[in-house]
Amino acid sequence: MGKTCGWVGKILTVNLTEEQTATTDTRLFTDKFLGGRGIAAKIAWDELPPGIDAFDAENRLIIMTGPLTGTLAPASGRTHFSGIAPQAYPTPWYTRSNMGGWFGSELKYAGYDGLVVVGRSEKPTYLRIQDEAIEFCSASEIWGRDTFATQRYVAEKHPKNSKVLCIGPAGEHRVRWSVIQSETENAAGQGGFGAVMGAKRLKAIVVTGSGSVAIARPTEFRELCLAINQDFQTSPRERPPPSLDPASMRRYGAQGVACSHACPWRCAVMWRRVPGKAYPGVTTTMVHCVANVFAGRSPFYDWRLGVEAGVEVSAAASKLGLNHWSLGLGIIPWLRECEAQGLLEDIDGRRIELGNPEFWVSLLRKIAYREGLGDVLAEDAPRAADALRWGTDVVNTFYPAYGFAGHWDGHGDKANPVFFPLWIVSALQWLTDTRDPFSSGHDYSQNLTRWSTAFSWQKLSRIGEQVYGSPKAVDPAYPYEYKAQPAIYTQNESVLKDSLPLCDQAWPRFYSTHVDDGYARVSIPSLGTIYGPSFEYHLYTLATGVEVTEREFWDCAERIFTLERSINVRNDQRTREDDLRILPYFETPENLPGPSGKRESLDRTKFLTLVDEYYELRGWSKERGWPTRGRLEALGLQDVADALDRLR
Amino acid sequence: MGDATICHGCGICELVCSLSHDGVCSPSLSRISLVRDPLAGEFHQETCRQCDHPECYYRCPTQAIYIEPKTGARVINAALCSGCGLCAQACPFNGHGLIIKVNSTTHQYIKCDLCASVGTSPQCVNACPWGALKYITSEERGI
Repeated sequence: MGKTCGWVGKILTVNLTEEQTATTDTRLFTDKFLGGRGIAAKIAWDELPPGIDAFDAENRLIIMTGPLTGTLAPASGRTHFSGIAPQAYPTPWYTRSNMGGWFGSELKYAGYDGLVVVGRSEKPTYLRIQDEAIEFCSASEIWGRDTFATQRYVAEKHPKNSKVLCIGPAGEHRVRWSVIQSETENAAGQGGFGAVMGAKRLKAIVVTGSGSVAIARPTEFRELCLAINQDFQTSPRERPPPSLDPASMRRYGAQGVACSHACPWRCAVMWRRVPGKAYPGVTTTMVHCVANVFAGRSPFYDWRLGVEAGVEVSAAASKLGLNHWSLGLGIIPWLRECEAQGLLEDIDGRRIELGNPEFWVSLLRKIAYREGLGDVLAEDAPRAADALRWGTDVVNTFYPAYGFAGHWDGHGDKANPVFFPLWIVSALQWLTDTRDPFSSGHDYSQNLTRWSTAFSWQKLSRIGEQVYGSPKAVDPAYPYEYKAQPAIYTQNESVLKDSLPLCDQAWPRFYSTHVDDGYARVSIPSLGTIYGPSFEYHLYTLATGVEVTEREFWDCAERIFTLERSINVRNDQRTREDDLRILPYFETPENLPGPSGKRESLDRTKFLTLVDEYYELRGWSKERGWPTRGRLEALGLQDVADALDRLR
Repeated sequence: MGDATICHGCGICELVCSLSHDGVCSPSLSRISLVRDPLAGEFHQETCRQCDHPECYYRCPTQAIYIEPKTGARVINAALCSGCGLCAQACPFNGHGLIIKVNSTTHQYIKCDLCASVGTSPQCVNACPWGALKYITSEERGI
């Protein structure tokens, strides 16, 4: 085997119980599973048999980068997380999360493509990695501290350019929706992996790397990356969230910044020295994505906290280590609705006051430290509804399935204006996932919602034909036709994005205002014209030097997705019946009317035809939704086929 | 020249620099450094100012540093660099080792050469997505 490019060569296994480490050659996995989410799934198949709970010492916290992490590839500085996730409902199961930031790049510069954490420390510990040197350090001085204070402590003890993953009090108290935090706003949120670190008594991982990521064809790789960066400067104008009030931005030196290494965009905003409303003091933090809802003032999320308190609440959740998505689009709307329906009168003697910043911060503290009703809310809304015997009617309007709140699907998530029939594809993605499908599956519903404000449906459908194989994949006139194909394409694309990895918001690149037909493309001297759907393939081959066809590259995504399904089948007996649990959620009327002019809801009969088509295209049996032996063998997963046969 | 008020902190300058000079992506081999303090919300770039009176040039005992005639860049000639590090000590702006650095593999020193060895105009300036880096030619600067 020649020089390794793209990957850096080793996956580090850290056993906290034994305080021992070992390394595995990354290249054993890469031909079939690429990196990131793909290698994580293979490790999970091998090392996470049925019967392991999220909080067991045997659970693995798999932290992976991919061949593009730490490189110039646009928006590639990401890290993938997976393992048995405590947030999954009704029982914890294998799922994933990921974050931007700088940790993954630094891990690679230290010489590791990934980190598998197993076991449980006897006492609170943090892990220190400096290139080859690995140290298990006592976390007695930081256990109990918030994530910002933990990072300040680490910054004083270790080189300034170290990168940190850590948990706050919520992770320590095994809150099922606690995050793994890096810097002020990067977090692996969904899944509750902060609680997995907490159960392992692992407070933080601190890494400093002096190495590099070699690139197989540096000049062409540079040309392609820079050409794609140029293409990134194209976007339909969106209404900024109300929290981005220009006067407030000037007052607090707020500036659009990259949330992640190598990203040419600036979707995050760095707010500086914003005065507190709930408590005295000032806050400096990046605010991004869902954290913009905390300020309130949007139609549904209308609690009018204002800019300063919105920033304060966002930072308070990050410091305590709580997931912004679960908080803003799950727990809070659910509590408010429960109160409206008379299920809840107060929280430990206090009425719900969403216009009061102090109410928010004290509620977050109750949850993170599991005090009073906070102990129940720490279990997230679906489990809390069970424990409080409040029934499932309300909670199911916000949480479609698996314990995760709605997300870009036209129903429970009322922040993002996706409309019928775009969410039919979201529903097919929800159908077979293990969490909300939007760690990396925004691209169909989100991109089309946004680009439909800039391009005609005719133009979008022509691009859809090139990408998905038929204009019907995009054309709203065909709501129940040719939808399984874009759903599968998007899921496979999401596997590629999590495996290479690339940012979900920034990728893929299909649409562009730089060309008349709107179909994104770049030209570089050595490769000629490359169209948007092929950008990932070329970045991968130029970085790694691996010689594969584009078909084989996409087959890796199909293999990885099928392997994840097989884990779900083997460990959790997942069947078609479980998949169909998402139907009632989509059978309620959508949030906003789309091109049809009325608020649509799911037509079960027509949708079930799509479900059949979906399974058929996936090579899964229509009756049970299990991968067939034929498809598993075609994907080179004979061992998986044998294991599933033993269950049949 | 870097403008910290425009810099959005992505690190593309570092990555394109090491990629262009060494064929690898590595902040520790980058001739420009992005300094980040995420908890304070601050970041800026540090790179060679190509001083009018370059202390590194005067101090080098092996005459490894020369002034590139086309751009005026102060350049370390790797064939002559002995790795003594006196240039890095002499640089008045190099307190944190961000401007003149040692390559830990070759044990030689590296600094910004305005891409003389790459054969292009400065790649970091080309690549910066928001125009936070400006290339001021020697004519414009009048040196």
